[in-house]
Amino acid sequence: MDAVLVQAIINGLLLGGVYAAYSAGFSLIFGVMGVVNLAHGELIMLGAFTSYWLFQFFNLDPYFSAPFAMVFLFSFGYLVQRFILNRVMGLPHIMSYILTFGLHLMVANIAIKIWTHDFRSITTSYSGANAAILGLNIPYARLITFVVALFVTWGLWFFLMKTETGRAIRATAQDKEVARLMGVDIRNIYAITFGLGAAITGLSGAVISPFVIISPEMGLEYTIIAFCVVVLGGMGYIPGALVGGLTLGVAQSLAATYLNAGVSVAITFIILFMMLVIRPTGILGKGNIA
Amino acid sequence: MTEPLLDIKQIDVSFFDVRVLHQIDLKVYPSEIVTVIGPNGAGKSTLLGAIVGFQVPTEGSITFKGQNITGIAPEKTVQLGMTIVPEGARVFTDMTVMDNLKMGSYIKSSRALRSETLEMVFSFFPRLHERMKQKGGTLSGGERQMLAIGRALMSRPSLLLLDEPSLGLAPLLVTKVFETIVQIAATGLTVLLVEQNVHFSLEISQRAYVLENGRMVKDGPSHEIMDNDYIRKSYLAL
Ligand SMILES: Nc1ncnc2c1ncn2[C@@H]1O[C@H](COP(=O)(O)OP(=O)(O)OP(=O)(O)O)[C@@H](O)[C@H]1O
Ligand SMILES: [Mg+2]
Repeated sequence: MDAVLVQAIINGLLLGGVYAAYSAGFSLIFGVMGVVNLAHGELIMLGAFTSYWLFQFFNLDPYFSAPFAMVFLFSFGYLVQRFILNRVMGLPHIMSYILTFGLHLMVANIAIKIWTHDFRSITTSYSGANAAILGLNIPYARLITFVVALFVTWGLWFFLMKTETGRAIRATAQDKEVARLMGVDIRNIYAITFGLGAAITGLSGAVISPFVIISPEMGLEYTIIAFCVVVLGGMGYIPGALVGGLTLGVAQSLAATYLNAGVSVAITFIILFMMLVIRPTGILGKGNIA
Repeated sequence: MTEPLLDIKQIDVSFFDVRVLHQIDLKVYPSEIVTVIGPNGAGKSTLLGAIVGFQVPTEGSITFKGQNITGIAPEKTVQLGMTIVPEGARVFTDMTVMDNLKMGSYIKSSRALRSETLEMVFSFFPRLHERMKQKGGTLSGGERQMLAIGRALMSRPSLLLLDEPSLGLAPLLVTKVFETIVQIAATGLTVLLVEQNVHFSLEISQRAYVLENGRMVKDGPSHEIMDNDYIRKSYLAL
């Protein structure tokens, strides 16, 4: 096979693994609460800034700041659901769209006030370093991020399948009335679910911080990608985030290599549009579109 | 006589402006099987909903184990020792049989007894043991009803509420479900059974209530209800 093609696919997979990690939380929140979180990208932005400031002040490596981003974003997500979104659960979905859109504007604008419009980046000792294997270039940072991303997506899946709370989350997603009959405090489960979704999203923001531009306005782009990934993989179906993320990553990378970078962005929207029209339940058909 | 386990006094229940239950009185004593019969739309499910806490009565009171539980939410009433097998079973279709049963013992007090209760449930329903790893949604109607009963037992209730457990089952399975209810009651559980299958439910219960249009029109020992002319004509088609 031609080395350019292999390199493009590898780049796509590395990108797609990260897409998967930050979209899994979006999918989880939608699957359990039916909330399309329009402030999703802001969770990534907050995760990235957590990592940025820990690096600035304590010279902490971005990968070690990931747990801090997780704890911070879990608390943030838990409180947002508990005190804001829980008020509109059970009302028409448009209410939660309006609230999360408002949250998107608020968080982004407060961040601009505090941190200004500046673009920032983190330069580590391994920034720009590549592993050269068989003539292919693999940036170290992206490789580590890819591995962390896959591990986190798997971890979320494991949590949902194997723990008491995970089971209660699944039960609530399927039939909230019956879940209550089993003794589940669904409002608390909603808050934990949003917290978990925010935590892995914030973690993703921290682990991409070594190689992305960090700014208060970065969020929207990520919300759009997460939406696209989740539509590809199936709304609310967690392993679908992996399928959708890798598919989109590879598609974008191939487009950027063989066409041009501009087309690679357009590809996202073309795929999103086609999926919504042709197969709204996702590639695997396991999405929940109710 | 001893104190009733469940004591409903003069409750009214409405959906928005429409009153669905009117001045309902009902008592269930420990170790009894009590049945509530009535036609479609009489308000049977609404009555069970009010007991577990989905609907809040506008008037009257509900007492369970001597404690006033009127208006207490379902996630709390289950902790006090009552569970319901909802109308249509409503198993978690995307979860395995095992996960469904584990959900049944989500509350802390029953979680500690989980493995022991599982054994009891599997002894009632060996079929569930065979289907342990299957998704709830792949079970037959009869198996789903067994799973819903098993799931309810997993919380170790003292009062079991059943909403039309024979609904939509083949005659042979109906017999099996009623036999199982008798066996479960024999272990010391108290049962409140809502049914449209009047014949069987009067047969296995000690006392019965007749609910029509949201009002209790008759109550008494099941054998007397069974011999009542009105009941024979309108419910048993004799
Ligand atoms: N959520 C609701 N909102 C409005 N009305 C309701 C609601 N649930 C039930 N009702 C009404 O209350 C009445 C009693 O309904 P319920 O489901 O309790 O009857 P049922 O005796 O259980 O009937 P079935 O045997 O068909 O299950 C019906 O007229 C029904 O339309
Ligand atoms: Mg009913």
